[in-house]
Amino acid sequence: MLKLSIVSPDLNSTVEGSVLDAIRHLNPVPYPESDVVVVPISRFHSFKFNPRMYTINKPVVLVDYVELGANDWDRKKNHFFGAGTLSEFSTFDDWGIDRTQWVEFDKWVEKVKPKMYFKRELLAKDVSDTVLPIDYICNVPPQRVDTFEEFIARPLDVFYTWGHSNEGRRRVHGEVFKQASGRYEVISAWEHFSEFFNNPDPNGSRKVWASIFTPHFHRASIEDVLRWSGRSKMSLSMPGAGIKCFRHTEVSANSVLVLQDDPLAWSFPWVHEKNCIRVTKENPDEWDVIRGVKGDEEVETMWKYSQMPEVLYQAYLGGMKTVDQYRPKRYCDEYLKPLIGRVLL
Amino acid sequence: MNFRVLSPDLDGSIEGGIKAMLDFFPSSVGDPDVILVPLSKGNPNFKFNPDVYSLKAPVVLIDFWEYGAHYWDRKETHRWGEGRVEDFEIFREPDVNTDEWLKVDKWVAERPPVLTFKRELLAKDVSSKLKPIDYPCSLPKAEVESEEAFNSRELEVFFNWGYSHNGRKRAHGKVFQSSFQYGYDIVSEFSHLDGFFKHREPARSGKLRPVWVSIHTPHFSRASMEKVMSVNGRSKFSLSMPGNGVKCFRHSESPVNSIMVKQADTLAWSFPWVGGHNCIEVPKGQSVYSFWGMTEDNEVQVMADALNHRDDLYQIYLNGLDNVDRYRSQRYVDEYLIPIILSCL
Repeated sequence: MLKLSIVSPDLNSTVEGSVLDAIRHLNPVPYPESDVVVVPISRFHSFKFNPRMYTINKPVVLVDYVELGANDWDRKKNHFFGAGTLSEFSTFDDWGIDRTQWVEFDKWVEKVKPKMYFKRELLAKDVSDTVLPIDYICNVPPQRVDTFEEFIARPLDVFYTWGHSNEGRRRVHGEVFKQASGRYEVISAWEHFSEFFNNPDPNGSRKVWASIFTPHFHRASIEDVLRWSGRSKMSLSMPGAGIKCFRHTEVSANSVLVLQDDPLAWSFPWVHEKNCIRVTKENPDEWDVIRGVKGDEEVETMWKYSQMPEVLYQAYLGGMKTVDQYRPKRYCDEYLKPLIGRVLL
Repeated sequence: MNFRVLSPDLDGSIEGGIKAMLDFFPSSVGDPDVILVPLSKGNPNFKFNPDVYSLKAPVVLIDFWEYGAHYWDRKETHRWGEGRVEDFEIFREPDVNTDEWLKVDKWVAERPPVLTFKRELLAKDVSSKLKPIDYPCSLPKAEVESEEAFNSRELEVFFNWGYSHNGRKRAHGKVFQSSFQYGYDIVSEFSHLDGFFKHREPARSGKLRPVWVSIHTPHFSRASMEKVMSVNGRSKFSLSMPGNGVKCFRHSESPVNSIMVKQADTLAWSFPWVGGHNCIEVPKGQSVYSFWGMTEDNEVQVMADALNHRDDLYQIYLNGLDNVDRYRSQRYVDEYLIPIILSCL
């Protein structure tokens, strides 16, 4: 049986929660007992490279959750640690990031040459036997599946809660308001839900979208997020500092995930109308579209599908199956472990 | 002079804001010299009071009707007594008891008032018998800030709005969509302000971004006047948009301690708001689509340009403070309304 240890390359042994979530079900053992060393890396301000990493003398599996800045990355070329291309990616120039520490890490990866490289922001064109996608796992327990009648009776058509890490999120929020007239009513604060629904719906036919700016210092509880995504037919999850966002595997637990088309590889793909709704950009390669300041297709797409309940319900059922594959134990047992096992072959 | 207020509504109802102003007219027991008859859309169960036919004293109409900023093309002023009620779409709304308002129109035709003060009055239609009236300012004078203090206000724009006009939604949306272009941060709830300043982060350049506040405040979640004016006074600009009428009560709140930003319009004002002199004006076209921002949602651009390029903002602020003082209820009644009434008797 494969024995894995997890070793942080950070001097303070930091492993960010979202990364740890994805790998903790690998049942790690202490380093001396392990056959393979899993090295998780993500972008955080306090990162300091631990030079003792050079003492590792076992096969290394790199788990790379670094986000490349969705407002910066042109999605044409992947960043891989060990390739000496840090300077080409401005994510390492952000305020508070000490580039020199990342250069040290880059050099170490170049030297150890990982046997396998799991990467979150991995372009599909670069997938190989040893370079594979990794994603945010779903920590939400399985939810009861609504019947079609229950699903179409949900009071919200769209639920979108967001913090500012990508201009595209602001742009869509703005567009939700701009396109509302004559179409739907907008709830824009958590505190407004109960009062809003206390007001009777005179014709019984109102359409309601919730678009809520939730800054990092004013986070909503996961219970609130799930309560309202579970009362919405669709839940929009936009790119943040990376294209993949933890929200993708939260809201898909009880709603139809709406996400932008992207050129990334996914552990278990999100396929338009099968298990999600994909937003296709008219000019996906245009720089202003990539960095989120142009392109209003999200609102139009959701408006269109809000009038296609049968399609949405099928996507909802498909999404519930897909997201189950992202639940921690299944994800480790059925996806990560078999792939890592190849390292020893 | 002895003024008497008489509602033409059988149940005697008078909208709160109008009544508060009328309370400043001198009144005593005995026969009135002038009878003030307030008109407004307020009561959906309005029923004409035929007792107004027996009035002996001269009548002055205080007409605060709003014509639905979504409908009114601002080509013609609606004048009571001309048999034109049904030409204005607002009278076809389900919450307007049109038949009863037709009785008001007939009464005005048969017993013409000596004078009409009208809120939604086109400047071209002002005459000796038809004068503008505005929301008075019921707020006390604010301390006048020094130029240095004004220029160092921590907020650049404050826009607090409820939904009654599509242009408000569109302007709010545009605030979110233009943040990247103009490089400002956004606060969108009162409850976020403290957290924002506590956790404020600089841009990649290390500089702090300007702050715009745009808050959707539904009718069921109104903020207190103290809170609104406190934030208003921390901001250089305060945007006041049309609601169901072109003139909004915010027009006499915003300039109390900030520079009012308003759409340019063709209405008559008791004491004009002049763009570049005592306010900032946003140019608009001549169609309803322009009024509600479908063809021109240029509020953000005008504000950003003024903030970035004008060097006379402090003087505009001072001029605005002078102008709004003329709208303070007692002064407005004593120095504006009563002299005009006397001139008609």
